Amino acid sequence: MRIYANILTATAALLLSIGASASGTAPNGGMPGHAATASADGGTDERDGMATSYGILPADTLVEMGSISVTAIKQGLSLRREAVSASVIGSREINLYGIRSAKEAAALSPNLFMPDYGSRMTSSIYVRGIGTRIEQPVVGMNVDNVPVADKNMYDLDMPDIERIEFLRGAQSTLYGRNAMGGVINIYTTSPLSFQGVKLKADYGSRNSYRIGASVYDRFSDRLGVSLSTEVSHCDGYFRNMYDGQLCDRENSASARFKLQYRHGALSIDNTVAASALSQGGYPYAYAGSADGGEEGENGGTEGVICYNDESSYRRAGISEGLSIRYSAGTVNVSGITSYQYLDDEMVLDQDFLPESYFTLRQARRQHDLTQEIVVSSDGSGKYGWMCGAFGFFKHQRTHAPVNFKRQGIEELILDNINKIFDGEYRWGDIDGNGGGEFTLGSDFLVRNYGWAVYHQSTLRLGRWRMALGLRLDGESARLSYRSLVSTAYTAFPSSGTPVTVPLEIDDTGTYRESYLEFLPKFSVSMDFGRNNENMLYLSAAKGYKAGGFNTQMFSEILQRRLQYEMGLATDIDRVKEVIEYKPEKSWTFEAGVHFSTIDTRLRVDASLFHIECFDQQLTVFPEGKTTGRMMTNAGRTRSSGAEVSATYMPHRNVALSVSYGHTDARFRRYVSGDRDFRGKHIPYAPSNTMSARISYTLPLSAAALERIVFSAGCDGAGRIYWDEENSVSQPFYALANASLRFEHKKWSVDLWMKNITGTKYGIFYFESMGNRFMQTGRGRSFGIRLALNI
Amino acid sequence: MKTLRKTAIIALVILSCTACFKNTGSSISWTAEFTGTITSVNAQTSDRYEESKIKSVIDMDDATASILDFTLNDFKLSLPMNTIKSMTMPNLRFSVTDGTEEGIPVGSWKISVSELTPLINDVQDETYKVRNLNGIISDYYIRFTFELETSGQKYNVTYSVTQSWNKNIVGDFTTSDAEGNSIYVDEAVKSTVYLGDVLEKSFDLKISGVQFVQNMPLMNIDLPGIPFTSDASDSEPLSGTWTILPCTIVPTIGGVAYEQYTMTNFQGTIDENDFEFSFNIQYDGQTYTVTYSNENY
Repeated sequence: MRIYANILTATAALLLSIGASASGTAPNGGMPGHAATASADGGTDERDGMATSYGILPADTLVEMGSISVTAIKQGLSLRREAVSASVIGSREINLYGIRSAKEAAALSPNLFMPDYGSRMTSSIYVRGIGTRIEQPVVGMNVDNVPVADKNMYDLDMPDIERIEFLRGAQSTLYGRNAMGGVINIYTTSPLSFQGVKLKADYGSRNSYRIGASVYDRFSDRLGVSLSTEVSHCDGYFRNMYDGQLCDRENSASARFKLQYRHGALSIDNTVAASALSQGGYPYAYAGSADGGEEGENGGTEGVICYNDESSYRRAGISEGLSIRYSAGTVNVSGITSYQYLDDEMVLDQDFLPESYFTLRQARRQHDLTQEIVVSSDGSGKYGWMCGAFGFFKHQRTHAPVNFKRQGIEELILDNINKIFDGEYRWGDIDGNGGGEFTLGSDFLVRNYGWAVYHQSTLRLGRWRMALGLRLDGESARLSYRSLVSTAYTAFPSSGTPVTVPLEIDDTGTYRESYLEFLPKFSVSMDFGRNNENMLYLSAAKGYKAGGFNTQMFSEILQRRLQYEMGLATDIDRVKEVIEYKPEKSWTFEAGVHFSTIDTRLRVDASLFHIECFDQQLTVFPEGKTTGRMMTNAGRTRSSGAEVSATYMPHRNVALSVSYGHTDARFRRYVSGDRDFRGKHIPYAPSNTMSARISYTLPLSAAALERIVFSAGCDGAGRIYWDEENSVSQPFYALANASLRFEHKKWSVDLWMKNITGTKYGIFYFESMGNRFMQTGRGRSFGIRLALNI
Repeated sequence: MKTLRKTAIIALVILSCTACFKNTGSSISWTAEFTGTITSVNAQTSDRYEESKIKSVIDMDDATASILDFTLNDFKLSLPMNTIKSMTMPNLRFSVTDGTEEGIPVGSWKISVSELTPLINDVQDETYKVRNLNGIISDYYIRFTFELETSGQKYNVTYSVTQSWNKNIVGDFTTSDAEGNSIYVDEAVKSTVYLGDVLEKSFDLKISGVQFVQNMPLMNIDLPGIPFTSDASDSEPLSGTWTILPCTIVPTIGGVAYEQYTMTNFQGTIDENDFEFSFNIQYDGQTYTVTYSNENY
């Protein structure tokens, strides 16, 4: 911690000295090469003309455009004026790097890691050492102020993203459940600030292409509408050697209709979005035996993806979000209403081997309703306040059968039974009928609802500003289930007659749990220097991640039930204790600085943080040969670290940006069975993240070509520990990217390349059924991207 | 020490059924409905017919008068026979075993009538005759036996309402070798004693998670049909002392009978507080004696 404090102190001193000596250049006048076109057509370039660099737009550009743009409702006018550690990715970066989702932009934010686990269903997010792969997320996401209800929709490509904000640190006071690690805010292009037609086409490695068309129109000063559509395809990067096919192919389509109305103090935004996705399976390669067995005895070959059963993921979603805001003098009132529908289905060869053990199908249909009302002062006085109320309802039906196949029946069931009992057991009837496979059927109905009330007060006294927030958050979780098995086995005792025993299970039940959390936060900040973006701040905030019921454990419970019916004394009671996981809570303490030189050529954001987590939720694979994963509450963890982001424009045509984050996240108390993981690193979250980008603009005076932009960058992450014992890990790795852009005000052509050096790295690792599996990251790829504004 | 049996039974809704009583001002009436099984044997042909879920009603206009009506609804006595919608045996006088409380009979009720003409669909029907009617109504079961003559046929009829009974117990299993040395003790093993019908004289024992020797995996073992004798009265079949008759039991594990683990010389006793039994078993060429006792719990 002392090292970080010294770095922070030295950096602040350096920044102060630079700021004191910088000459004044208006922030908006510093856009290399764009000033000449700033007034051309009032479209994209006008907005870009307000940027101070290619890489970074001024914070809250959209807000500074005034009321014609999407407005951030809960935070201040500029995130760099807030006591929060945040990264803002503006439209210039989004266009330059072809960013289509929060996941693609995450590398630019320190200590934020959104790996590609091979399926868009598993939208894993790790922030400052905390995160999960399944169940509740640690980060909330809002698109145009509408909260995304389900984590399975986080990994969604959206056409015409205008801006992405990553707020790191506990944001639960204002954003509620599952914002314990932070919040991602995404804003899309407003039809009131841009009119015209955008056409985009992208083609790259592995026959991947993306085609999009967007129309923006403004019928009057008050009313604007837009329609954005996009389709994409990728053949896939990884081959399943069982059938020789690429297993991670993907097809997707999306559409977004937006209506914006402004009339005096009234603002109405309504967005209807639909998306569809079809993906192949998980590219998990066998990585050896975890229990000392010989390679290949389970059919796996190390380093090879080879599984025999179908694996796929499809998803369809509809979202309707309505935001109404009224500014009544010194008071603003906002209402946000949303309805979201999700229909997805995952089919999985759950053993990931060429043998037939078991497969899983999980089909869900989910409805979410959210409603939020925010009342706030206009912030003009020394005292500002915000009050809000939030409610949600979630209705989810899941059909999740696990199909046991011949190998699974023999090795996971019969081998164990035949070691115990005298004679021989076979599956099916006496003639073997029905012995090839059977199904553990599981149906679930989840009905959750929640409510919250919150308040935040801010007080400005000269250079000082203090903020105090309080939130009371209540939630009720209800799970109804039905477990269904209809199969039989036949026993051939060493003496006596064979007998076929039917196994009929039809269990139902309902579990309920409710939670109530009080979520305070406090911050104090001090402005310094001559630039109104310079501030030092301290903050403390409580975070909360909802608890619930882990439905994936039902296959485990059913297996125990089968064993019980077959005569083994397994624990079939206490089902609720097995499937329920408690809420996770945290306290985040942070000290940070925002600094800009007078001319904003240099901007630095840095922070130190310390997080204490209680009952941290972890994803683990159960002991022995079982299916699926499970949640446990680890007890106690702590995470400390530092992060810094900086942008610098040494010259009007050169832009540099760097970010670096370090996290030391360890268990303070975690005992699982006879293993004690105290002091071990928390798995799956990287200890370090970094990003470095440089761009150089070559302005041209040709009518057909206005500029050429060279950009190069490097993103890295690691070390990542893959298990609680820290016995397996991925060292730090870096991926080099570059692009060459030819730009005109009406069109642009990008030649891009990712992972230029073809770095090989592991992106995900797990152990299951005594086997190790690894997913490697994508190799080198390149492509061309065209954009046309009409 | 908890009693084994008396705390477990759920009374058959006889005198504990406070909802069955109605105070009409001048008297206290009592009505209760039951569902039971009717068994009929044709005296001439010996054809047997059985049907379950037959509803019956016991009705007393005056609970203090020791007179009741007994009605069977929607039943028949043979497969080809038409269903009789209702048959009432009226004004049956009963004797009580435990006296009365505030004029209302308690304990078991016994009925004995030599002959009567029943009401068929509420109308006295001379074409039906009931003879040698014996009935017992207790806290644990209802049983009526009678001869019914109609249309030239005679039937020996039994109507019974019984219930199952089970009791969870906890005890220790001690395994001893042929020399009587204790070699293994499995403590606090949970078991369930199960009677499918309280009138039966054999019970099932379901043992949850037991080891008889160290290297034996924990197993759930079912011991079906353990016979016993009882000195209990007919009206209180769960009382008294049960003596397990020496027998041989083939244990069932997961629905499979394991003859190689046959338990021989299975015997024991059950009374209000204690449950003890023992058996011999062959394992790995050795003979072991296993005893069970709940005295520590």
